[in-house]
Amino acid sequence: MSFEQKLLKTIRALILIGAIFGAICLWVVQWWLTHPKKQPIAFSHKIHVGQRQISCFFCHTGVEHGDIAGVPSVQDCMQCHQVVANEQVVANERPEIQKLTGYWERKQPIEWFKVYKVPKHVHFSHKVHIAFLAKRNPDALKDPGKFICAQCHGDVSQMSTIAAPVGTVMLLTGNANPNTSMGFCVDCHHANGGPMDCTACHR
Amino acid sequence: MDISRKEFFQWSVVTGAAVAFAGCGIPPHQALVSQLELPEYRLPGEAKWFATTCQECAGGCGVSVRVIDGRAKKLEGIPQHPINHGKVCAQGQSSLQALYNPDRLTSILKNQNPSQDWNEVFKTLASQLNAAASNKGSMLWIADSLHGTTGALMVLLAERAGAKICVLDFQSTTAVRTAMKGLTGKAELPYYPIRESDYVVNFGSDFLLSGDLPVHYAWSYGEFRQGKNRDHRGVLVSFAPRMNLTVSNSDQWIPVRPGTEGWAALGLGNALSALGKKGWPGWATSISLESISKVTGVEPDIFERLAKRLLLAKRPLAVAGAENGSYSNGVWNTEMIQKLNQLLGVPVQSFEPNLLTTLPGQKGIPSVIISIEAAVSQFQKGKFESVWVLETNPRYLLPKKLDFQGLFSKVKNKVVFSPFPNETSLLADWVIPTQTWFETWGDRLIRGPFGDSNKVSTLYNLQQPVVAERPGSKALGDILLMAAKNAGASFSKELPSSVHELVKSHFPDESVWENMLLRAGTWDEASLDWELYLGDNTHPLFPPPVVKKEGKSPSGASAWNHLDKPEISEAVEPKFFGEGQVLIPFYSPALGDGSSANRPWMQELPDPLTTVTWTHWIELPMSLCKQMEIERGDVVRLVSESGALTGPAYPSPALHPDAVAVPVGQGHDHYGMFADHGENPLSILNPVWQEGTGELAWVSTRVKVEKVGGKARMTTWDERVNNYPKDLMPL
Repeated sequence: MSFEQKLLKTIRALILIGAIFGAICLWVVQWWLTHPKKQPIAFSHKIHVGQRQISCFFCHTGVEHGDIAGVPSVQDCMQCHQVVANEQVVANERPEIQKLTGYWERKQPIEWFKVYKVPKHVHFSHKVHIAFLAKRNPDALKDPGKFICAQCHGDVSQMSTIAAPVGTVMLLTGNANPNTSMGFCVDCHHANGGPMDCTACHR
Repeated sequence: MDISRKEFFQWSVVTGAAVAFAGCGIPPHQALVSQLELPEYRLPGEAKWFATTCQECAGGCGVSVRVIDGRAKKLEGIPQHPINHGKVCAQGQSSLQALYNPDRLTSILKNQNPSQDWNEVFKTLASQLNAAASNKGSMLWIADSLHGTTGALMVLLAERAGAKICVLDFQSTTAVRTAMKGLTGKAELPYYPIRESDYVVNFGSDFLLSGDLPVHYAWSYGEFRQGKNRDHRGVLVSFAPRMNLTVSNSDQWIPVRPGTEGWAALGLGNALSALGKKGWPGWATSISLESISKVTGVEPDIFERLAKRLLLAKRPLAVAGAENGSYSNGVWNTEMIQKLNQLLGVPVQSFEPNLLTTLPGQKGIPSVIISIEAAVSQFQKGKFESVWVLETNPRYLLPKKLDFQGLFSKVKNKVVFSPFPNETSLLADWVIPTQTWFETWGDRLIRGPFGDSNKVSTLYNLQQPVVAERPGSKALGDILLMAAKNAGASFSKELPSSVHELVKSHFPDESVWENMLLRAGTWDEASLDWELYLGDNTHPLFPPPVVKKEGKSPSGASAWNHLDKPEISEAVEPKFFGEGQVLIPFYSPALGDGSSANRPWMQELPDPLTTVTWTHWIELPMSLCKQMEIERGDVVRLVSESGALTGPAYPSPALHPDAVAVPVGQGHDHYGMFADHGENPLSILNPVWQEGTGELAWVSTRVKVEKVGGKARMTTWDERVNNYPKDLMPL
């Protein structure tokens, strides 16, 4: 084998190793990024939705009338927690609720780690989907967590920590959640007679 | 190099995979923010519109502000508003950059050190008020404007403290008000029904841009040129020493010497009188057109030809402005131009944008306003123990020769109220951060013939907060009310504790108040176009309130009726001091009087005539440039008796040979990161007092022009090619 051939072989091998190594790194990094992180407060949907039976719409007020579900304001949380478990907070117990009151006293908004992400090139409206699901099953509004929200978000009432199901990392969008993948949306649209043209979502 | 097919495919796959993986970006961390407080009607990520009143000038435009997640995003005009008809000017649009300016004060400054102790502020202000009340005349307030409920509050408290108020603004309207007092008995501002005219003669006014109704007049001008019910397009002729925006829109510009606009009106009046028009003063007709020509530099036949055209016009109109009022003979200039209207059979109409509302327990408007001349005189005599500067910047606006810095430094108690640090606040003992009009309650009461019927009506324009207030600051009116409360019953009697309560007290009926919040004003129209404001964001829990009851405007009164009626019985020439050309410092289309210099949107707004951005320039007449061999960009110096100013030359064909012109607005040295360049022409003015008003005659300085050498870069939009080095883009 001539020197030239050996050199080409070496370069090819190095590129191949580099590409594989790079792919593994990116895969790991993306998985790490999309894996549920520690939230600033360990808020438990299992306690609030599962045990206390609080409706999803009570906190996520934007979901019926707007595109974005939103998260409750610190003031909304304090409306209950200025009373609920307050004695324990005063007694320096319940550290997570203490964190909440700390945010309120410092007049500081809470920055949650976003679990459900829709790429920027996709337009998604909660209002439209809630309305559709409610129309299909009017009783669904009595327990939206079970009959409406669970369609995409899973059974949140059993989740101590909100975690999007992690599947194959979507390399181009960094999306690891199959429930917010295009295939998931399209399948549901197809099954339920939803719009199938591109501009329904990509606008 | 020979490659086999197998190798080719291997190379392709490997490099393709490498590129694909390299192209996958790591998605950035996304946060989902729980806001601290979120009203129920507000949907995340979706817009709500709130009606309020822009307070950038006295225009009182009704605007609707788009708010998303508690952030103000955009202003739009309210289409039904009788003043602005849905339009907003650049100054109004840029006001978002005042609200979100990174240089805003976020804490009180006590001896230039940060503090958050508002209680100490209120107690200090209260003690100064009480000290002033026991030594009447020892307190001075310097304000940029007195209007509406906050203005009424300032006047009331000043009176209780025995204090005087000096209203400092560039360009002052005092000369115009004084002239109007002589003509109508009321010291108001003239109103020009431009949209109804078919032939307008403008005497240097820049009504499309400055003055007190720029947006209204811009709308009116549009109707004047292209209105639907017109049989022909209106004609606009301008007499002016310099082509400003309005003059540049004219069909003909007739250059006149600075300060002789009133003489041009005199010439026109004499020519009309010679053609048979009755009513012109006898002393005026005794002055020949040749004499007038020597003063103005305008040939007599121009007056004669224009007079003939005016006689053919069905609805002629003569327009004056604050520009005419900026000379030593400003009152006379304005009066002559209005007399021309009377000669043409045009009724002299007026409007008042700065009416003060009536406060609980208040009877009449006390006379507390003093002129700048009187204020300076008392300063120099050491009369003032306490001086409060309310949202203006006298150290920037006043000529250096007046030595405001020296005078202010000698005052025992120096307090500056401002949203931003500025040159004046650097000298103060206390700098108290105030808020922008997006965050506060207020109003503007305007009386004038704005409706279609031209009937004089009083419009109440409500200003309501559209975003949460900036932490660390308070509304000016609320600070004054708290100071009054701390000062005791003699100051706070019958006053509530907030401007919100004061404003609401004008409308005790709840359904009327709801209506006021909805449309931010009282107008003749009975309905409101809901879709414009809410789009499809109507919240089912908060449907639009039914417009049950219209509100009536509260009564108001002017603070300016103390001005003396002028007595004019002869022609008055302008006076200038120094040698050389007359320096015209003009109200910058972008920066105004300099208060917008900290807004990058306004810094980058090209000047309509020169297209210069981000710097000042010195406009020189072409004849002078030819004589001194000055080219565009050459560094020149203007030297007055009071100082010198350098800058890049802009040879201008749109300037009278006797004048040089420099825009006001640049030259700050303590106004934030965006306003730290250029030079201020007001600093080199001679402090000349205007006859009959005691205001500064802003245009009364002559300057010598000197070449310094070298070139200064001006960023312009009219010759971008020349901004590049010539070897890069050879022509």
